[in-house]
Amino acid sequence: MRIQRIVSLACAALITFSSVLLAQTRTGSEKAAHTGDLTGVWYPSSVNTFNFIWTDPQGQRLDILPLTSWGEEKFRANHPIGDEYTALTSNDPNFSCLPPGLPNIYTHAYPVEILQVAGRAIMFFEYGHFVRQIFTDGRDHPKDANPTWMGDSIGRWEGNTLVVDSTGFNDKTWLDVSGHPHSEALHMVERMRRVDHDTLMIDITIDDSQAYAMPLKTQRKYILKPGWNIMEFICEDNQVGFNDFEKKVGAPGTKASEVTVGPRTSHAIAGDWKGTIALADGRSFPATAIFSAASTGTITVADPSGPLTYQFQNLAVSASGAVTASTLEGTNFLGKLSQDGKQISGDIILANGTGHKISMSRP
Amino acid sequence: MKSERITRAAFTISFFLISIPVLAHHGASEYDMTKIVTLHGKVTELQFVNPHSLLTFTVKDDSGKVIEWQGELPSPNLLMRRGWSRSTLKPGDQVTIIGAPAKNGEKGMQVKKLVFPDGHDLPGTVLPADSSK
Repeated sequence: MRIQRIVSLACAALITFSSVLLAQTRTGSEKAAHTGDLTGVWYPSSVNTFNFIWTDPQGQRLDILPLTSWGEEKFRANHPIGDEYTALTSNDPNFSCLPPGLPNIYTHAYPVEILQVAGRAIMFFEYGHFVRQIFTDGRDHPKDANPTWMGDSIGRWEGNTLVVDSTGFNDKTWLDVSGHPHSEALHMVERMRRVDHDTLMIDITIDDSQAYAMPLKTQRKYILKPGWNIMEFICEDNQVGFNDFEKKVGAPGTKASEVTVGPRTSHAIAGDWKGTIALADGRSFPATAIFSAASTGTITVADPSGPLTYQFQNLAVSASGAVTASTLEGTNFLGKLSQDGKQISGDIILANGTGHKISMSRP
Repeated sequence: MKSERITRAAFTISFFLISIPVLAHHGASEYDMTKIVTLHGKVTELQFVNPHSLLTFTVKDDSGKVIEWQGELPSPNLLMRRGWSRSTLKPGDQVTIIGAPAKNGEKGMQVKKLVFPDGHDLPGTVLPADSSK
């Protein structure tokens, strides 16, 4: 392990030294060799999967984006999935298997592999198998480019940071899953850097004066997944069969499922519990729980940034020891009671699919 | 401390509002996440296909009546990285299926977890944690 580290350090030093040497010996319009390494398979962190949180240029969070009148009109015509629209009635281009484009593709919960070859960094997205070429050979954007889904990207290295400038987008994609539009004038600048060996941060600034009154910023965090490969993903594969299911469960109406099987009691786990929770973002904290025999319970996480509490209802334990509960916000607790009744381990799953691991025992 | 808690709660709620849908491809708006159900089913078919897998199974209710249910699962890519394969569930297999039922009362659910007769389990619609390899 130590030898590996020394070799790695030596290689890093050599690469750095070579880069400096190259930069010094090249002249004129020739560009310095890159100095960063972003290669690897990266998976979106649990802290930012699914949608963007936008800020103004100063970093102030924007819950309502500053749309122009053109942008407002487009935004009203977009019907994102949510309380009002389902996958069947939403007009999100993603649901028709159209390419998500940039930056929307970053909202999908699939990995991306970054490859670096001479003059290019390549992002190979698992979702839809989209390939994005970032030209790092010093070229400019093409003049009068025909707009495309992924746009045209050129990059330059600033130390270990790859700064990517993208234009030439068509206006057929949404900026995010909330239905915010963009025009063909979209200009995106990304700063991609490894904050540590296993963590990639991408700072995104978009500027689209036709749609927004000011530039908008957001950030993506990715986690390195050694040993992962990009797998095949064909969006159109299952549209027909799955659409029938969508039509069934997505049909209008609200009615309780007639479930007349399954557990109805939480008696077996009533009482106090104490243990540890490993949050999806990698942090771990002590946790306590109080479960009642009347199918309610509370799990409290001692997060120093503010205690986090889950109020569960419909708490039940099946004959085989499966523990289930849910909050009014749609967070679920899925646990397993040990045979001796003294341990519970399981997951707390948020409505967006993010999962925390919890294990507890009777104090 | 109280204001911290309120801020935390407000943040949690606003994050929830913004980031509700789109696991893999589409949302969870069809399902009632506040009512988890646990069903003991017999597998009819597993369609292990992108962008969503689909499990069809039958359940016997308390009166002995056999009812067909279907459960939505994520893409094979996400499932295979979490221990699944296409032969994880075969027709006739008995398995406990835990998930969120359709809001409209149809016999469909978003599968959250499977528990096998030997006690081992597999995740359904759950994303890998940052620390998972």
